[in-house]
Amino acid sequence: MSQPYRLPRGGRIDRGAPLQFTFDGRTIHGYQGDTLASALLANGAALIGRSFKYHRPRGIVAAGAEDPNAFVQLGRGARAAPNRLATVTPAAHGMQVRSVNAWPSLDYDVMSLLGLAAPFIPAGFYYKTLMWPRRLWPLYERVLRRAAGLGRAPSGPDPDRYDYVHARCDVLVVGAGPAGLAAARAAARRGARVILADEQPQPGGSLLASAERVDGVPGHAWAAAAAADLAASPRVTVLPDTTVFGLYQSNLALMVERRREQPGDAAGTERGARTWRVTPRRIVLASGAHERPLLCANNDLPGVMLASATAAYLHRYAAAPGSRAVFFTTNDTAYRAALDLAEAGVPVAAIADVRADPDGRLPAEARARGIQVLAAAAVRRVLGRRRVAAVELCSLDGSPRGVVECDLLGLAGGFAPALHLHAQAGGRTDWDPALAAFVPRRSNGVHPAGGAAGALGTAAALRQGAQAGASAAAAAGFTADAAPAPPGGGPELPSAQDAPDLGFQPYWVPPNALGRVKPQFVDLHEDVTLDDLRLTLREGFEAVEHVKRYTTLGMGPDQGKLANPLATGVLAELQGLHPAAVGAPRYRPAYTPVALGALAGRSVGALSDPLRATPMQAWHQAAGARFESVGQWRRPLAYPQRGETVHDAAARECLAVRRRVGLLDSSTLGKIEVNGPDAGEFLERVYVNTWKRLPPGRCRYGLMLGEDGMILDDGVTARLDERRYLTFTSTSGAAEVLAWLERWLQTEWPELRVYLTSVSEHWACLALAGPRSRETLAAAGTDIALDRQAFPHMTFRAGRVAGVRARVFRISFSGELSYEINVPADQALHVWETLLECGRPFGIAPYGTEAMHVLRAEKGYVIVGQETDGSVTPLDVGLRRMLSRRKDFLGKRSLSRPALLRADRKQLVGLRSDDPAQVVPEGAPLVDAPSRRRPLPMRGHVTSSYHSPALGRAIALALVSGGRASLGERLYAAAPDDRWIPVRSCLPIFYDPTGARLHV
Amino acid sequence: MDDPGPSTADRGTTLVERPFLTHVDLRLDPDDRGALAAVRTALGLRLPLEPNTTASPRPLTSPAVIAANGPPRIEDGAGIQTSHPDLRPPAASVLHAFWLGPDEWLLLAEPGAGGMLVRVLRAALHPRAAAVTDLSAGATVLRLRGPEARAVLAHGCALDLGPAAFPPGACAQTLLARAQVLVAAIDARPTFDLIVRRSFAPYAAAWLRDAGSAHGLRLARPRAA
Repeated sequence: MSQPYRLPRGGRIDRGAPLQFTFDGRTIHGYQGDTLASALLANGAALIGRSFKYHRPRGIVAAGAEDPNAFVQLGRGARAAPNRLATVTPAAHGMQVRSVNAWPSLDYDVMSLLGLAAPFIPAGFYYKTLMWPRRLWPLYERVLRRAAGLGRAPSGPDPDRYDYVHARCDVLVVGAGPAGLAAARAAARRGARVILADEQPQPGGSLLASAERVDGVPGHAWAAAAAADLAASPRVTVLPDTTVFGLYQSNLALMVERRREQPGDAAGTERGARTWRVTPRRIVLASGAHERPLLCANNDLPGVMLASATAAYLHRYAAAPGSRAVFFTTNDTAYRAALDLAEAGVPVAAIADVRADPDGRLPAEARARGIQVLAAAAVRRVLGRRRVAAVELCSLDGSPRGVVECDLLGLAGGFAPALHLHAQAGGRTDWDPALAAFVPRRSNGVHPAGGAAGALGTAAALRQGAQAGASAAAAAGFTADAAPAPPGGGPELPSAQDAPDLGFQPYWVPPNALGRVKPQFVDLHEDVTLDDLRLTLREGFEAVEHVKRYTTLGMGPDQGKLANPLATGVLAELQGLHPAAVGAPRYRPAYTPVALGALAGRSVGALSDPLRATPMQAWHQAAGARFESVGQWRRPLAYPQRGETVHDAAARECLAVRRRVGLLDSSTLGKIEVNGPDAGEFLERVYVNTWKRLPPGRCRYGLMLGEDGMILDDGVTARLDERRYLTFTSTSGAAEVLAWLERWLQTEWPELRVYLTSVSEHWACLALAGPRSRETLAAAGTDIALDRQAFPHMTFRAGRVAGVRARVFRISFSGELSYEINVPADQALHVWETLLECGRPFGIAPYGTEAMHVLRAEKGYVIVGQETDGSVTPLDVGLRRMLSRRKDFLGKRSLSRPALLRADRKQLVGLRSDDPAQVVPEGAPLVDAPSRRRPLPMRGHVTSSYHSPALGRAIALALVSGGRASLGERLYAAAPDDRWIPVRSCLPIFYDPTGARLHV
Repeated sequence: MDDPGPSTADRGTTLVERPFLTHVDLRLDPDDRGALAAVRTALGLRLPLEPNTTASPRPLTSPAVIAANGPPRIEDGAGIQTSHPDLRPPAASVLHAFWLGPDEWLLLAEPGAGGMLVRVLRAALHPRAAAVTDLSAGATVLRLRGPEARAVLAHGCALDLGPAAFPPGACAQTLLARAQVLVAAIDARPTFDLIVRRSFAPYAAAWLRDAGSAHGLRLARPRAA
């Protein structure tokens, strides 16, 4: 098959399982076990994307999650997945892969002309240039967004099922390389429950990318056996394909498991990702280290790669990343990669080593193999257009050392521990001068090991891993003494080779002797160059966080995994500071991009939020009700009959209540029983009015204020007996009010002997309202005496209604004779149906919240949250008479603040539009006179507005500055279509101002 | 009532509603020994004072214990005020007392016992500062039982419900996805009762069915009350 760069032997791929996928329409051949990146390399596809800003050609840099370039678009339609990293995405047969940032094609990208303009697009370009003129910003944004193009969103609902799961364990091990495997074994042996998560589909980490042997067998084979042993233990959960992407306080770890479609999956099998929310007692951080790139001109051309990545593609995927290589190194690790490449048949033309005298075992081996080793030398510039063609070498003093043809440049700038999770959780770091990198300080339950702790080499990783696993288990309460039989047996510490001494020599900013050749990229994803950093420092942005924000360094979807460690050294050298004084930009979750669907998990569609319904829900639905959402509740808005709009239906329902009788399901109201010897005293403190003297059996309307004097909630409270009150709250305020009352009771007034119990769900509430409600209730059957003297307005009676134990309250939110009948919710439907049946001779109609709103507005009753918005006092809505002078209550002092007594505060008034048919839009601003002047001083706004069927005209409630003192004044309401609606203010009561209809 | 019978036992993981049980909320001062004694006398049950635990008049864990010892016995009332004629029936009907807070318990009892329990407890606690409130119509119980029960709950409940941290007799108020529930470990099968408010019950049940689909969860029919 056409895989010119596939090596004939080796690799962790299954040559018996070939596959093909398309990349920008071109067929790519690979094998099971390939990543997209390794298959592309094996097919000789070096150019895989264009850069974000300058649209420069880019290739594969790394073999893991740290790659800044290899973001591709997977699939199309509803399954489209943007921002997938080719270096960690397993290749699968039939995949459709597209490059990003390229138009019309990867090879001929129009926007790459931007690269020619690079000198005019410096750091901070966006801040400096595109902010002005401001009105052009929408245009800039449109063009920029198209040019930027970080992939395309899916075009429809995601057909995959996502999952979310909570888990606990004693030790979470992050990474299944040698350190992680050793740690998991050590911890499991001590009896700890272990979760071992690794982002790769196979365990082994660095062992997959080398020819090293562990315990006398190939490293990958040892890792596979160790992981299988662990997985067989009931105490251990091994999760491949799982990235720990966030670490938070108290060791909370979030990880995402990628679940792939398997051949032979049954229909309906769950695919898509699963988010794990894990709370381990201890964490072993074995997340490895990332190799640092090095600076030289054009260090972004396809073919420039990390030295460790060349070895990974060679050993793990049997893919040669090039046909002739040059290495540029600061330490001995590159020699191992060079020797392995040469061994595999890829000639190594030269190794440029910045050290004056590289004389270790590996350099000697390289020389013995005939590889040219240049000491005190550097790569000055990479040559080539769409991929590396040659490199220009020179000594550190600037003298040329020739141009060497090659198509692969391996960079070995030393290793930086992957500290992302450690730092996210608030862990501190120290500067390790031997590594020239930050290493984690042991802290907060996180035990670093292996590459993540700065240890290089398999033997050190195994040793540290075993120690970290043991100490993490011990810290979680599992000591060696308690150890049952170890899973898998075998010695705790496998034998492996120690790493050679690195002999690392920092090389951050190329010496001036090399000349200012450009561009030298620090952050490949964000196209941030060395010159950008110089400019940023010159302009005074010196702190690393300022540099980050000004240049966007490290702000790509790769989170600057390669760029940030390099930038720390570069910024330190440019400023003459110690790297520890510069620090690293803050690491933020997520470590790698996470699909939003994975975070939502199962909480989508009907499961995204509870829809709460009353016991009569099925009846409402069958009756054709239209619903509205009130918080999580669904409430019937109106019950349109054939041919009726919601508006028509609500009007009909209003008239039914005013003329005959209506029935409202108000079960959603909050209901709190206030119980205890001090219940009256408690209510006096939280309500503006008095309660102790309310006789049992009577009801009273109450108003509750916040400490700021603003209206918090309102509702009727009934005194059930000597020591018990029942308080009604608004539907949406129920939970908030209960929490507010409990807070005062528990934290401020523990001496009050009062218990609060929410009974909202136990009691369904049926509001029977209208002049014929008494007859309806009587017809339904009740043992309560209903005549006016026996059961007057604002009283409560217990008894039976339609055979059901009931509490009946003669309270009204409509201004009509009304009985609010509370019955246990599981018998409510029976009572509801009986009332409707028995009310039929009286013309009963069920009514919804729309009619309820109109009816109460006709009476000028406020709705908390509609007439009030947290800035409205009882004085503003004309309820001063309710405020008790004889006692203290929450918010009382605030009401005497001068600002709350000002005459020009917004106050509740009614509005009548001049044209009775003209309903003013709710929320409309009110002004004294129409004008084109801007800004136009506002007098207030409309809070409620309806057509009143009973009055045959439009009515509205409004908050108007100084409104109470100037009733009858002319105002204008602004309609959205630039019209002005003339209105006149009035007392906020339109219907039955004397309340005669209540007291019948 | 505690055991839905052999029809659903030992056959995978099942979800069944235990409808119409009596739910009574009890508030009293835990430092008031007299109040605790009055409840003990009235119900034959010591209210659990250890946070997040359950008290039951009979062993929670093993049906075998019940089989061996015969039907559960209630304290015979020696030295107890027995003047109230309703004393024994409500006492016998109580299944569990769940600790909800330092001064709050939920009594779960056989269907139809609400009025009687409220009368008996109010009489027993009079004139102390205590609150006894019937909430039976406001909540239901979803019983999740079987080997995969913990795995199903783990999709939406952040608590550690493993046998070490949450053994039979443990209970806790928590969230199941977006619904507030009282989760109680009943036995080691394991069996969990989820006490959920009525308006949240359809959501909780739908959510459990969805989460259980990958675990072979079956719906069982409630036994006639």
